[in-house]
Amino acid sequence: MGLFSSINIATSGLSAQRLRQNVISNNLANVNSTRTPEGGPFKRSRVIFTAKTEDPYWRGPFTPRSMDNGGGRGVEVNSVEKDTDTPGRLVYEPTHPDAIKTGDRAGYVEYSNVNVVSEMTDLIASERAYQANTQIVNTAKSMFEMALQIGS
Amino acid sequence: MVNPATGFNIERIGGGRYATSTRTSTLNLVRTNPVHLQGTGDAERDVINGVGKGDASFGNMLLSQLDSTSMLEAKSEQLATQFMVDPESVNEHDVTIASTQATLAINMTTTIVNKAVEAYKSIMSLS
Repeated sequence: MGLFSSINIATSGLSAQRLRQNVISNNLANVNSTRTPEGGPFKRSRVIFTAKTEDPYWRGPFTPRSMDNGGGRGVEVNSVEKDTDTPGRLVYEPTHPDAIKTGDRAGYVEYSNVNVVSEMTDLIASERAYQANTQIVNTAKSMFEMALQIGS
Repeated sequence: MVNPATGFNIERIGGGRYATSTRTSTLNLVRTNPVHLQGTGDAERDVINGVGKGDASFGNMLLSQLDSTSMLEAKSEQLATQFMVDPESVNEHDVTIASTQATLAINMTTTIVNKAVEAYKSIMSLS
């Protein structure tokens, strides 16, 4: 419970949403990528968030107060994971160099599994989350200034 | 009586009588919080008379607060410079939030200093 703890928590949310925006823009930029270094078409990435905690293994009477999570410590990005379950888009383009040569899918090109519509809605959601976190910063600032006005 | 926030035991020298005849005695602050006992050598009865003695005096508190304010300001300035020199290496919200924190800390410091000066002035104008 520090002076700027709510502002710092909101800052972690802001940073997390910026990284989410980076991942979304990478997905949208690679919507037509058919080749990747690891082989195959591009797979969309997802950001996995976790609540940041500093839980001590053992809590005793002399555990420092900084180890206490209090109202929370904000959010942190756990990992950026590839979505390999969603199948990619199949487009019939026999002249494309990455077209499937054999089998019953011959002539089809497998594009990335990025869905532009869901990426755009994700982008709007992350924008709104960023907006909410900046609102927290502004509210905390005005509350701080109100507290300074007490008695004067 | 023990102030729960500071751990100081506030009592009066001279038997604790609050009659007007004992008003010449000074306010005697006794440290009862074990964390505070490690502060100075004279721990058992660390009498604080005014500003400048003891770890938790107003002067030391103000100095440490000035330190943290200046640290926040330096961080804000460093982030702003880094943002101008190499915009890719820093988030813009970190810059604005550091500057907001520095502004708030300076506001708080000036408010406290103004209050202290005001109290000093009103004491000096006692007549």
